[in-house]
Amino acid sequence: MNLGTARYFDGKQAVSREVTLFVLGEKLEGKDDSGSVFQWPLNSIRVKHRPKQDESGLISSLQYPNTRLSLNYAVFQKLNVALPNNSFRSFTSSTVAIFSIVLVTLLIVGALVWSVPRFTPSIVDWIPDQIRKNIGEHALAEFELQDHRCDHPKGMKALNKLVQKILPNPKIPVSVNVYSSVYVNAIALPGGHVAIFSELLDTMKHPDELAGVLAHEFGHVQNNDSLDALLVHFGYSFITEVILGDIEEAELLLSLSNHLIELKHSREAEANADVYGLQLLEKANINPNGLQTVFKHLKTLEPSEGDDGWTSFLSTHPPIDARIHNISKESSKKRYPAILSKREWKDLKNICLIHEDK
Amino acid sequence: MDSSVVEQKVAKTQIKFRSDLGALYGYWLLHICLSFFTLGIYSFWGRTNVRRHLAQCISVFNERVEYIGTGKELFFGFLKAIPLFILGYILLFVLSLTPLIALVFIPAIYIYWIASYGSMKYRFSRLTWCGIRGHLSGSSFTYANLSFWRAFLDVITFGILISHTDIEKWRFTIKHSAIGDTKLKFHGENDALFGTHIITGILAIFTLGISRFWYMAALKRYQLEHTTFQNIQLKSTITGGSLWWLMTSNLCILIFTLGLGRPIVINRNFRFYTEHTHIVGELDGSKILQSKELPSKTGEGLESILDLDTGIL
Repeated sequence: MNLGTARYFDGKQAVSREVTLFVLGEKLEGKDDSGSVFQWPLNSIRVKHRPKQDESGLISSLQYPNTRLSLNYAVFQKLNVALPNNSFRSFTSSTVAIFSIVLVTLLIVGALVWSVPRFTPSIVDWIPDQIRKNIGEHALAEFELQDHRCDHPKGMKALNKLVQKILPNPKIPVSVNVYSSVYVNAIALPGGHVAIFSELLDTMKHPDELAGVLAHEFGHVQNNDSLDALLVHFGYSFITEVILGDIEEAELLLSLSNHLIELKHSREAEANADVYGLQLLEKANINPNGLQTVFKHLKTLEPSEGDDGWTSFLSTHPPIDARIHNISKESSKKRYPAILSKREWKDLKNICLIHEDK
Repeated sequence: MDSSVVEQKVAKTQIKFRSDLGALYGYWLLHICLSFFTLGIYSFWGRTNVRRHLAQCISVFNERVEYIGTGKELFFGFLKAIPLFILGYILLFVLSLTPLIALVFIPAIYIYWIASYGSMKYRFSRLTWCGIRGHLSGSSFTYANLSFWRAFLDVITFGILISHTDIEKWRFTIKHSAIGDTKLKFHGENDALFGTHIITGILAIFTLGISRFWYMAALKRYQLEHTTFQNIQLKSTITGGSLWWLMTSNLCILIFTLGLGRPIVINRNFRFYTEHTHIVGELDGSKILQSKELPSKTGEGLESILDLDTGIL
């Protein structure tokens, strides 16, 4: 069958020659005045650029990858009739490919989501103490806290007494300090650093409240939560950066998903620190209601924090109501001895005074 | 009857770009969506489809340019680059905890140059015209050494030698570029744009940097107009004003479409550069033979991880 003329590139020189195309059995043959120029098996033909009415197209052969045929719309249409059912075949193979990719992806996603938080505790154990301390100090520097440390001697003495009472034999040594800051918060950092912000201390009316907060933060320290969170974040960021390095839009979406997983991880760590803290308080014979009082106060400062509705999955902490409820389950009507004298508590509350005078 | 399509062409034949924004949007959206749902695995194929589409929109002497790279090549290139990236990532993390953080930038920038030249080599080797492959030889390490040395000179001379650096790096790239077995040549002088660089640099203080678009345009004109291939010469009509308008309007499109206008920007860039580039002279296609050097089997790896976009394709 004569299909018409086309231009043939042999892949050796940047020139074309005009050939007449014939379909002979299972082959496409191109001939010029000197005879046969090429023979391509029909099933090896691939469309590189589909021709349009006013635009020529380009086809190639899998068997001769450098060769090309430039042909017009009419010739292509005739050839297309003779070709095996290429379009259907490519559809099925691409469908299978897409399904395979999606399946493999789901497996990879599952494996990543499952493995990152599970492997990090083992990795954390390998990190030497000195590096943990360095990370903690680096974090303190990042928060610009080091110049705001409150160190009134009497206040420090009372604070150390409280720490010693709550955690007499720590698995990981702790370094507790009060920092002058407007944030109502306390944080545990790698290397055993615990930072209590003066604004939080100012809201407290009783040493039991500070003891509750410290016990909770010690839970984070002993569970290596901050280092664990850092590595989880590092792991997810790494994965996101590697696989979606140059697709900003997709990277943003995946980062959001990672962030949600990290938040869930963070909420679990907070709940575990609460449990650990309550156990510490129980062991030290300190009233656990102090922590409950702090949570109630935090709830009045930020009412939305108590929300356990649909937005709770966006929170780094479990809903405050649930945390208050959990503590009240553990508390009893038992009477507890005072952990600090009134004088010591006053010194501790004034731990930042000298610093502020400076 | 043999007939050479590229012989005896009329002087100043334009490079043409037949844009198809709808098709480009289709490939791009598929690339973004499937890349997300496949955690980036599809991106190698998606990126290839976009490049293939863009290449075939360009024709030189009425013959289409073709991109023959595959997603599989990019995927394997990526796999090859992962160990190096992991090493770099860990190094960066550890050094960031120490006072040695400043040292991180030296290997990071060096790797950037290696990756960008490696990427150019891959892309050029996957472009064909009339069935003949492009070819970029030269070591990525040599290019990185040159870039490093030039960057050092730029720093110690407070940027005075930047125009020398720009031309020197172009000279290196062109010296190693070929279509088939026929090499491209560059006849420019390093100090040719020194005056433009200094004047636009001084004016940049008063024009908030806008004057630098005139330097960029002059550089592109100089680079192209002093590049030859066989008997043909390239001409460029890019001006500082047109370049400024292109970049400013592109930025506005990206901002106001929240990034969804990226295919429009890509399309505009291609149209701009092809419309402003002309070919003068005659070309003898029979003397351009396929290069005997085989292209690498895997694609750019580091470049895709490092989030670089070094080429027009």
